[in-house]
Amino acid sequence: MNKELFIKGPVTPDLISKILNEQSTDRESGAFTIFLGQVRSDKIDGKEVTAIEYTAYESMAEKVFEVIRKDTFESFKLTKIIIIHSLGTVKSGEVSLFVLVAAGHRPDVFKDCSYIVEKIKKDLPVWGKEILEDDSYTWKKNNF
Amino acid sequence: MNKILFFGSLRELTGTQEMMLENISDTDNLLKELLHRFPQIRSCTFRTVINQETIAQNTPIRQGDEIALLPPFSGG
Repeated sequence: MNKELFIKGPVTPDLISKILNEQSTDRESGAFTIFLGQVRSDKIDGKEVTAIEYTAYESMAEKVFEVIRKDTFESFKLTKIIIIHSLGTVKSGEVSLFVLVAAGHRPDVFKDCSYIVEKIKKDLPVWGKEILEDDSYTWKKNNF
Repeated sequence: MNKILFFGSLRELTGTQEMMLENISDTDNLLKELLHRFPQIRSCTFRTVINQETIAQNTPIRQGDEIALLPPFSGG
């Protein structure tokens, strides 16, 4: 389980590549699923989203992260969970959420990753402000 | 003394990230005080957490407790 939950700015292709390269030393895991949450250029009232600004209640997020880990690690027989969420500005086309889930074998690793992503969206105290092309903004709402 | 934190849209509406209050006995009284100071948050949806734990009903506030008002999450 990673210690760094938040980073400033987007999750870059270089960071993703670095994390994937590190997995080659993991001899316990045989199946990996990765989720990337990317900022879309949605249209709101005819105006395009150019970026999302993220803020978080970081001390609470660490606790929520621990709860997600405790709930899933043993019951899903996982070998690894890596979650990285952006803080600050992430532009359209950039990644703001990285989730990697690993297990010894593949059977449920797709479902497990999906479960963890939904828990993150529902339970992690993070807020996104959608910045529009005219510099106005609206507060993001998650759909469940 | 208690630290009160605001997040998301509540920060904008109150113009405040954090404030200190004293002599607040429980969360009902805290919300009364906050609505008095910031009536603009009256129609907002938010949850109240004490020391990073969500509370579901009126809860006593102890010296040093950190209270946060959290609008619906929108991470990911």
